[in-house]
Amino acid sequence: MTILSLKLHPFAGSVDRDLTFRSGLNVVLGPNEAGKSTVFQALRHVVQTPARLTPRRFTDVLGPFMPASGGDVIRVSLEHTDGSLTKAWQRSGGSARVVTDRAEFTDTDAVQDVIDTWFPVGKATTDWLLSADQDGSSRLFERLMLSDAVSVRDSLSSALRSSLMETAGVSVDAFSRELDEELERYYANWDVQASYPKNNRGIHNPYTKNVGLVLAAYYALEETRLALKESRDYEQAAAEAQVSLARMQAALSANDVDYARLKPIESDIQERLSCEHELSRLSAEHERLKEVNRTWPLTGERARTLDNELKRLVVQKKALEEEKVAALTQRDRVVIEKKVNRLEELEAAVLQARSEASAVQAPDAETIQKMRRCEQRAAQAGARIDAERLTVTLTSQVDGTVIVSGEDMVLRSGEPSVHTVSGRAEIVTGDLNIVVESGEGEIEEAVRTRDDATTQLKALFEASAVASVAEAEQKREHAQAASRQLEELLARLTQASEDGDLSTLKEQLDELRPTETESTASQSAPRDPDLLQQEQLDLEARLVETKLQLEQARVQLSAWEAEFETHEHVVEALVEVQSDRKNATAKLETLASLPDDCTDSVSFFDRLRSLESDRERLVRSCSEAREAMLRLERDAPERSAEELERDLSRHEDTFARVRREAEALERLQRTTREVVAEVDRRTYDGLQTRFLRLLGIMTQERYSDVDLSRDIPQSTRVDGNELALSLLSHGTKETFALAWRMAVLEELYPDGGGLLLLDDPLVHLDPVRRRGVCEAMREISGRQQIVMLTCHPSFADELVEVAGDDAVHCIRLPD
Amino acid sequence: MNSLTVLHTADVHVGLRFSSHGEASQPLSAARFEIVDRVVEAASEASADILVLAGDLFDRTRIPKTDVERVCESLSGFSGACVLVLPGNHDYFTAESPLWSDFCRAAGEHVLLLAETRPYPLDDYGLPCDVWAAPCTAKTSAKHVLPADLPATRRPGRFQLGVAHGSLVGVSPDPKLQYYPMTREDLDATGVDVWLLGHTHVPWPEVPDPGIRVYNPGTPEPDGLDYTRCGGVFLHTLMHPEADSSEEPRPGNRRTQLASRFIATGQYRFEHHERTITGVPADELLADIPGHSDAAKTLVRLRVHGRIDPDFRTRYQTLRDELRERLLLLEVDESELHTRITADTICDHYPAASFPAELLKRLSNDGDHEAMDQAFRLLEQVRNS
Repeated sequence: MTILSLKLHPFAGSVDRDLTFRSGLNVVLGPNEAGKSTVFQALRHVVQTPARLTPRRFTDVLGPFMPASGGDVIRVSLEHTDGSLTKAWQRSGGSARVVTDRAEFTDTDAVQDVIDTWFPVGKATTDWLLSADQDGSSRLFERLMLSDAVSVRDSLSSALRSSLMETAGVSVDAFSRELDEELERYYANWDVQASYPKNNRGIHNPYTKNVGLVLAAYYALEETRLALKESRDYEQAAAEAQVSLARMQAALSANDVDYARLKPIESDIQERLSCEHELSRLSAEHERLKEVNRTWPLTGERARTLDNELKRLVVQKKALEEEKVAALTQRDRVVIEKKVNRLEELEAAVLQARSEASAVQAPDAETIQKMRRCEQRAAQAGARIDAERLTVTLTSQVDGTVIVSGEDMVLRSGEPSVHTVSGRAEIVTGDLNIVVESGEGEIEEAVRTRDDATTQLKALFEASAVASVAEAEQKREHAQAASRQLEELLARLTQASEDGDLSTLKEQLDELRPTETESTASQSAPRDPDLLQQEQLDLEARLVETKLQLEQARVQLSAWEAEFETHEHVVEALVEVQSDRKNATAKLETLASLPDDCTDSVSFFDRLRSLESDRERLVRSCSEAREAMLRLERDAPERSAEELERDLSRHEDTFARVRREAEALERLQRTTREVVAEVDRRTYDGLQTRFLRLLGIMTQERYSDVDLSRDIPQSTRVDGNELALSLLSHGTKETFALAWRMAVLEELYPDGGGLLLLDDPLVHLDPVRRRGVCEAMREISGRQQIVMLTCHPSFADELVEVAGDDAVHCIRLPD
Repeated sequence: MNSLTVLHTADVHVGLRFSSHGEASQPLSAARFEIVDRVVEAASEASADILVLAGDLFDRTRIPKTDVERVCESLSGFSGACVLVLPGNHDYFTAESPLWSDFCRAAGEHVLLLAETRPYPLDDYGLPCDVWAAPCTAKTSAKHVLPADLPATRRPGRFQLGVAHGSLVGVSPDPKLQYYPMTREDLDATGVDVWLLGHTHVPWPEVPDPGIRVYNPGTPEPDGLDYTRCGGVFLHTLMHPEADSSEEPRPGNRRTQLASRFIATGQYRFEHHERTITGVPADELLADIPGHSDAAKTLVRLRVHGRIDPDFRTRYQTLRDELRERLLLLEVDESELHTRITADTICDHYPAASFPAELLKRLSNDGDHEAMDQAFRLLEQVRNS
């Protein structure tokens, strides 16, 4: 967009001023008070200030620009290559009008929309960067670092990003939105992760709205799959039903054949069955009569025999009972005799034992104890005496005798005689009585003790008529044994007398003794009662058995007599039954015979009933099966399995294709995000490059080494020294700001069409910098429109000199 | 009567819905009825004595009664002696079948339903001919029951026709042998003059031969891409030799002479075409489609692959859309047709280092043609919006 003209009619001091511009470099030249600032403000307000303002805002913003000549309306018109714009403001309201090639707008919002398309970088950015007044330039970066400039920097960032992302007529955001919409078009209500409809809404509960392409293809596929399954199930069921029906019909046909074969002979077989039953009965009767005929005489004879046998057994039983009584008596007698003998033996033994016990004079235990103590004392004293042993050696010059301890000893001349004595030796020779004692006379006491003990012991022995303690003890043991034997015999006697004492038993024995008659009668010894008991039991069993057999025979005979009266009548009945059998057999031969596959009449009727039952069942089943088939065919699917298989194949292809397309879109989305992130990282690359390039032109490359943090220069290096931006000179700061504003303009309008409004930008620059700035302005003026306002004709001349006369459009404001 | 003319068709499949064919489904479904009229007309024009429909006259066992009646009405237009209709595996016969009940009620007296596996003498129609029928009684069967004891029961001096429906082993695509398979040997061994089969939608033999006594006409009106040629019927003429016509023929030594020819009846065609594009599509890329003259009755499946120059995609789409306009139905598979986007293409369309250029370059480096197609399409869409 290039501004072609600006009309102020009126605006501040200008009543009706018309300025024309052209692309590239424009210089508005005029002395002070000529109205340059008015032009500057008119240009800013016509673009940025809405036509409708509140009265207060109107006063604050536009109050200073009310016409100096009077009136309550100010008006500015702007004409440029894309259309024209006129805004009129007054306290009570305002109006705006935009005319483009295609339309005209007077609605304020519509007008603003059109203006936004002309100046897309926004009011704040335009204010701060592109149309900053003279005072703002040197402090531009400091102001941008303040917090109230955050929105400006964000806006700039956004604009830079947009310029980068919207190149070649393609907006990345629009592309991303389109891609998202495209993905949504494919994946609406489709759970990509689960590869299934969202919220588990499969084919049985499908979405009807917002169905994406993938979901639609899936539903179409599943619907066909279901239809195919239904069709196959139907065909399977129909085939099975058909086979089943055919099988039943075949069975029914087979049944019919069998039934037709068996039914006509049913009555014959029925009669045959009766006949066979009768024949069977007659045969049985014949056999029975034959048996009666045979056994009747035998049974009579047997009854008689059994009767005799019974009588004999009764007599035998009586005799046996008597014999048993006698045998038992005899056995009791023997027992009592044995007891009597035993008691007598025991009584004799007791008498003998008593006699023997009383004959033994044994010392008692105390006496034996005394004996032991005396013997022990004597032994102890003897031992002591023995311990005081003396050896006396006697040697005589002559033969002679000597008495040593009471014993005469012969001495031979010159031969020593050695004597060993205990504790004391008394040697008597001639008149000499020599006593030798060991120790100091204690031996005497020991001798006395031994002698006393020995004397006492002897007395005890004598009293007990024994010679030693051992004998006394042996004697005592003997006496004790005799006593124990007596006690044992007495006990045995007591035990044997439990059934009665001897006299009682003898009385019993006398009672049981047989009379002479009995003795005479029983010549032989009686038999064992136990044997007789067993014999009696056997006899009674035989009696019972014989009675039973006899009873049976009599019952049988009674029954026959009751049935036939006589044996002769049995023979007559036998003849009659034989005749009946013959007749039945003859009748059987006249009836239809059983089919080969029936073993008898019963199996025939079982078969026939089974056929009837099967037939009824089969007819019913066939009918049901036909009805089922009709129902099945009524509900038959609209399409055959073959057609559905073809459809399924197509839907599978479609589903796969749509999925592939959607997956390609997914990959595209991932790649887009990566590329966007990468491009985002390069947002400030262009600005930085352009800024350094323009700064280099302006400063003759003195400040080619500048550190930029994202969008704003932070420091620079001069002669190798790092220098903060705030430390730069006023003119250098303005140079940096100019370079940066131009770089921003170039970035925001890479294809040209931007407008840079410069309010006396060269006034604080030295000639070299001024020339550099002029060269930079010339550099970008091929793409952007620059309007420089100045009151210095030399600046305009310098610009003309750098850019060329034709390249600079000079607008001179009258004094 | 020394000769017998039989027009032999099968697999009409009345009731086939073509539901996945979009707008073409209606004319295709209607064509199943129309072909009955044309077959009857062809039979009448050929002065055929018998019109044989060897199975699958109907697509299913459940057909609306009005449709059955419409078919019967068409069959009533046959000017020959009789129409023989054999139940196939799609319209198999059951005693309780409403389809065949409706059919028998609506069919004229000259229509004979061959519902049983047995000989049908055609004396009632004034024809010295016995027809040995082998109908289907279910959708599938691993075995086909042919009429037994044919040589023993056939009568001398009469034409013997066999009519059966099922796959012909070695000819029909029936890998599981579940569609009433028959072998030529078994059929030949029966000794009938000619077996008239149905089931396989492709005609067999391609060229009629007097030595061949088993014929399958295919469908008279194609119904899918498995048969891309014109549908038709066989016209068989059977002739007894002048002399010794009463001599009883023996299997393998038939005396009846047979002359057969194929008559085209179908109007609709299914075609499959493949095209490859490399860069710029030629103007005549699709010019030879369809392969026959009546494009409005042709259904084409077109598979296009290759790499197309993006500036010519519109041109290709125009050619394709023009073709679609001409055809009854065009199904296009372009899943393997990608836009040819080269470094030059990217430079031509987008400034270097711009987002579109970077994106396309990245996709190109990844070799992701599908994503690149989508990207290019969307980029152009955004730019032109």
